[in-house]
Amino acid sequence: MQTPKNVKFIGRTTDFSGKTLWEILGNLKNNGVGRLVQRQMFNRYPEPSYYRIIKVDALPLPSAEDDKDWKRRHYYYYDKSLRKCRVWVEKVFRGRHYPALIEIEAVSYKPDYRLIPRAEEAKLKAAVAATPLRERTAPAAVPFPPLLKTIIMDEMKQKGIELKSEPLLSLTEVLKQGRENIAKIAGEPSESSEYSDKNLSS
Amino acid sequence: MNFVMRLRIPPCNVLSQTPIVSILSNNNNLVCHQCVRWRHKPRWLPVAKTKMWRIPPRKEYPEEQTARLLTWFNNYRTQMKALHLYLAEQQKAQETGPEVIAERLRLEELKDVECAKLNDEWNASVAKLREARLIRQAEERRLKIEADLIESERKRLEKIQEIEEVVRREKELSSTFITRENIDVAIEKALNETVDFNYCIDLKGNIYKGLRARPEVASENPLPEKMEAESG
Repeated sequence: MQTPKNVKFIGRTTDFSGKTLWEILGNLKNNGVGRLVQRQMFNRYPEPSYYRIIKVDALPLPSAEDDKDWKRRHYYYYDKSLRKCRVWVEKVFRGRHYPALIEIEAVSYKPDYRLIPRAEEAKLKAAVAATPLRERTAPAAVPFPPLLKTIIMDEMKQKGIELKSEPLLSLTEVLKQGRENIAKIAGEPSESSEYSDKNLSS
Repeated sequence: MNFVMRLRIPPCNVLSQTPIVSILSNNNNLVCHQCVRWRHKPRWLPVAKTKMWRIPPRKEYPEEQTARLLTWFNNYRTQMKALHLYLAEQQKAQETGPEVIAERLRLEELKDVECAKLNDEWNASVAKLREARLIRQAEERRLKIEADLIESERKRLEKIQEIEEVVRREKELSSTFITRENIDVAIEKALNETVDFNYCIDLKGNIYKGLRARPEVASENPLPEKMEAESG
């Protein structure tokens, strides 16, 4: 959006920089299918990220009924440039290709997208290819919180079960969850108490 | 996280919607204590003049601190998720484990036995009541039948007596009956008896039956019967 020179904005600064997705794609030939788009917010990471557009659907404007209710008002009510669209993309985030297509709709109105010029595409892809995969290792299990550990051991004692070592809380199920989870499970459960500082960082 | 601030303020605060509570503090000074936890500017008041065009500067934190906090928080979330999962599994095991099911079945059987016992007790007590009621009802029925029998016997005898009375009366009357034997006598008697239905009445309303009223035949007839006047 072009800002007139005699206008001074008062308010908090924003991290967003760019246009909404529809502002970019709606003006491109074939709605920009095949082009690359970047979220400006993702540039804070050292590894490069981008979206490759696969399919674009335009969405109807919010209805007048929606506009009557201030709780249901879309951003479009306040800023006519903030229009939503539905886009399927190949996502590359922090140098990692996502296996499945990603559907962008809810965040498509955010004025934070930037179109990659064709001349820069090869460079960006090369940068992604050159990025080593981030690696994180997480312990398979961690000690229980102290009180819960005491309770478990007491229960075991009541049942007459002898524990050879202290009970451990398994993290394996949790570490398998989540699309963004890249942590790998260590072969052996970590014994040291410094696991939390070293391993599970984003 | 200081939720309660001790303020030396006058007991009337226009901005605040929260009640002001005055208490005596330990040093015997009258001090107003006011809970200011949720106190903020109401929506209908405008931005303060001093803050009208103020743009709060962005806070800047050391990168190291941010990274460390992020790591800690990620670890915390992972472990909390694992803990929730563990507790959910424990809960599930408490509900669906084989020993739990066996225990539950055993308890259910025990409960069934208990219920059967209770049911038997109830049945016994009810049976006792029912027996007493049946005995009482049989006695009542027997008494009623006895009374009915007596009553019906009495009615039968009464009926017989009535019939006998009728028979006796008829027998008495039968001596005056006109039969084939005495019919001639009866005819003769009827023909000989002259009945005169005439009667006289005087000024007082007395009725004189008979033929006294007819002088030509009065001498042959007895004195007429004097009847009382009907109206007093």
